[in-house]
Amino acid sequence: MDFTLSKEQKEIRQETIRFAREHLNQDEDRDQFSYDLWQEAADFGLYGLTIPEEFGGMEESYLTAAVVTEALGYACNNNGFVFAVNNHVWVGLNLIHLYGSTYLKNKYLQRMIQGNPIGAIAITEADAGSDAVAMRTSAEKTEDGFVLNGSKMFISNGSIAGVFIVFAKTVGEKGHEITAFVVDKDTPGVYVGKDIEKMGLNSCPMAEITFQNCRIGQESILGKMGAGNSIMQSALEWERCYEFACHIGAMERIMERCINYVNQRKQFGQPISSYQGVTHKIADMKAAIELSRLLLYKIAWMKDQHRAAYLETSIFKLTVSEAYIRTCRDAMQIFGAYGYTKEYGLENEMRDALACSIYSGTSEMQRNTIFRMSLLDVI
Amino acid sequence: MKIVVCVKAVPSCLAEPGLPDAQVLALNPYDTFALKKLVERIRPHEDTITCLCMGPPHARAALERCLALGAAEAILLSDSRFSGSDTFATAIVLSAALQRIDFDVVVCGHEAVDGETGQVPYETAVRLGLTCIGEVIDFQFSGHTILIDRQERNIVNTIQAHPPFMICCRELCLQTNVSLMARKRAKGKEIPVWNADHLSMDLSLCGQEGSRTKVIRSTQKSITRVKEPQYFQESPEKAAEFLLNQCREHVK
Repeated sequence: MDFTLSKEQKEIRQETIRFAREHLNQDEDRDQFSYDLWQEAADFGLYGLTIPEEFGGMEESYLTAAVVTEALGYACNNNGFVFAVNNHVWVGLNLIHLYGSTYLKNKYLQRMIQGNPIGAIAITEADAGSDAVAMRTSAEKTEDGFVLNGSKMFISNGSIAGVFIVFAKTVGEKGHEITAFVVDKDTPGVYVGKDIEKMGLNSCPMAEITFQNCRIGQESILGKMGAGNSIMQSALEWERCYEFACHIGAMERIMERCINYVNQRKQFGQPISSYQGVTHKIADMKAAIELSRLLLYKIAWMKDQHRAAYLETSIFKLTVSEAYIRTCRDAMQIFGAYGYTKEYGLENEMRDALACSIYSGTSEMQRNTIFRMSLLDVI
Repeated sequence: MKIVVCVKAVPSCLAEPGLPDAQVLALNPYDTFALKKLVERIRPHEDTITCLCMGPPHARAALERCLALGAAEAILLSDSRFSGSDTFATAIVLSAALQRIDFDVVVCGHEAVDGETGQVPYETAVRLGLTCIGEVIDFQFSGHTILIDRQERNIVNTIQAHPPFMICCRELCLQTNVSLMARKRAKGKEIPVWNADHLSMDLSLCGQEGSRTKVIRSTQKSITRVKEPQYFQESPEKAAEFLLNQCREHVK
């Protein structure tokens, strides 16, 4: 088993780091979404990595995309922006590529690769978070399409998105089932609420999206009628893989800051790198990064083999999210009082990181999934 | 207007320090500035850029970067017989290649960050009988001429030059960005390789044999770092005398 990256992958990684460092780290863009950064990332080519060339993509492998995404998280300290990018690419664009009809692909892919419209996925509701299947948003069948009614909550990219992947209840042969739809923001009946103020990830806006007698055509179906559940599961796999690939990069960035700091900071006449209480934390960071990376590459390889990776992405999401939060916490501890100040930026990293044990399925839900799927192995 | 940019592939640790997993060779930062400035200034459908690089086979990576940055074509001058060339021999090879290319203007960077001699552009210009305008910071295309901003100390002179001539740019550019798609397209482009036979060169003028200078020994000089700053609080004249004595000590 050869774990080395190809020369090409190393070069693309280097290119991504170079781009992110030069263009994506302006302080003024940290607290709100920047359309300028968005377009720069589009022009750089971040949005169409795995999409076929016929739609303007680069047709790279999922493994290469994982390398790029990790590099993006490493070099870009605007965590909210990276979060917005991943939402657009992996649970927006990517789902249309995988499950969309020719009509939907022709309508959206090329434009989304170019950065407009921005994509967002709408699953969660006020009363349907972990229990997503309990959603109430309905899509009632009409002569020429469907009428959507309901509302979705905590939708990342909500107020900037031009197209939504909406999951709604439909009535089919087997009774109530879930179907996925692609809905333009400017469709009559779509209402976007104001941005929800959050603890972190502030450059990725989040909003409530309401559908009131929103009429959409038959051609809006993503996949087929009743396939929403499996598409949702697939979406979560992609989200968990690539959103958290960025977090591996972020952990590495934070670890490097800690290493530089402990070699410079002196207490009791010695650099604090002399004290195991400090260095063991860094060792734990490194171990977490390496293990996470191995699992990331395995998942990306599985995707290149067109294999489902629900268990693997669940394990990955659980371990990376908890390691990421722990890394931020330990970094603050290493930096001491400086780590607690706004100036050093670690408190910002901490606030951004805390969300990751919640979104894309809480840590508790991941543990349920892992246990349940482990049972299947044993039985 | 047909423009040829002479570029060099240099160790990437010098071209882009601090970048993880850097390639072995990268585009010389002075040449990067020259090329980027050209790409900004050329007139679409009127001006074309060809990049020319003398180096080992893996210097191709630097030329791919040139193509990704916006050059239309690239040519690699590579031959084991070119190996060991000093600036004199390098200028001979470059001028032989340039004589086979139809050009209006040749653009070079001020120097390469590895050799730092800054001699090759001028030696090449002499061989080709071209005027070489150095210390260039900017230029604009204007009909069949180029308006060149040349800086000497704090004075910027604007010169109007009629082709053919050579420009030598004084600034450098450490970081460059190319889109991933431009990179991919560049990888797929053909880069012809010209060797000594293609250039019909007199081999006695190539490589070490053709070089007027030969490196006979390389040693690493240790750099003494002052750990604690020294404060000199006497008169300026005393300070100057102290510094002069320090310089003399280090030169010995």
